[in-house]
Amino acid sequence: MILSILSAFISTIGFSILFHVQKKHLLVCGVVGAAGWLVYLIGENKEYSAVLSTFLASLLVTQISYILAKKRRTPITVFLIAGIIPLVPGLPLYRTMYFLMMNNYTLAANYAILTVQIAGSIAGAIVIISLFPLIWRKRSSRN
Amino acid sequence: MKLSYYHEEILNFAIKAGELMLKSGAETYRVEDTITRILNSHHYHSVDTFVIPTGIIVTIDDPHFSMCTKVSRVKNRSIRLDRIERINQLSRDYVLGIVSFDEALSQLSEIENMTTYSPLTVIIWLGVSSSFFSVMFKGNLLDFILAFPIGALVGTIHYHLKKKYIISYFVLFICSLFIGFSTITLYYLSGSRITIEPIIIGCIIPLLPGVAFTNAVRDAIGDELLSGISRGIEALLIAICLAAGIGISLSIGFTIGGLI
Repeated sequence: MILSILSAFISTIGFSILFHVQKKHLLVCGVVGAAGWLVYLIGENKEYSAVLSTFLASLLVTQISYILAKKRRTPITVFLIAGIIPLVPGLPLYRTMYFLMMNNYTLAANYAILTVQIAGSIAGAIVIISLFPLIWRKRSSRN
Repeated sequence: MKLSYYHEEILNFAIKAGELMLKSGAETYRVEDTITRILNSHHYHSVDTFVIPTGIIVTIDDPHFSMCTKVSRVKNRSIRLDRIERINQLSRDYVLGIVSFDEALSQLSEIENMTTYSPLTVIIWLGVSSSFFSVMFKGNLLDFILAFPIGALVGTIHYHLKKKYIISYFVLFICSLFIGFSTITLYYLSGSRITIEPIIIGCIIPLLPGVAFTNAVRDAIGDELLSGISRGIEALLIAICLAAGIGISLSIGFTIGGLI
């Protein structure tokens, strides 16, 4: 498990370099990615479904990204993309394709739905964390 | 006073900043916001910005000059988060009056030509991140070692095809075809000592549309219906291209190898 989190840290840094994140943010991006993956692994250990674990992890990642973006005066995308990337449904997408090839349409449909569910739960988490603070905002800051 | 500058030059500057941001993969609402802020700092009578993922339209109007509109078509998008950050900072400084117009203009062209990482660094780190992603998905030591060259080669192919301005969906399709074929070849050569799944997932995750997806959600939140939908479709198309590439290569490989 520690090995897995460590590799999440390093691979998130590698991924951030792919998208040319500035050097001063690289370590932070790695930590965000590792934190998201840690929550996901804890959820998996407690035998939550993949959808719920991903949802919880993306909630955390989005919240951390918002705080960091404010603190370091950076577009939030820098941290958000780094944190989300270990959670994107690569595994179910691959298995969908694999079982389609194997003519096992039941499992293929299962994994296709799982892919959509995971993507939806990430989107939902981002929406919830972004929009809930607006309820308590006193007045609209935009004109 | 800033008003002494000719308004067309300021409009050009604002559009260029927006265009560069959009090219670097910024969210639509951020581009609109930046252009509007830059132009509003000059107190024009009205400023209207309309940005979609492939173009920008800006109109400014004031009693002192005739209405002025510029359209800019944006092509060849690639993701450069460093540029977005720098331009964000630049526009903030410009609006606050910390940098003058001429300084801002020269900083903008400096940002346009900046390179944070050389192509070789990016390729090597793509390989590294592929190997570590394969560990995350329960790959063994051999998978970890073999994912590195595949990831690095994918980076090389991606870099060279991107330079020829081939449409990005096709580039990703070629990349995933390559991942599938090389993994299946290594699988037979190593006498099934490696596991296919972690290597393929490790190599494909850096190509997955994480950025397009995140931007789609954030544009949808920012009340940009058109951009939200089109970026969502972009993410879906990329995923389908990758899946198709993997599917085709693996089914050919399995059929030849006699696994099916």
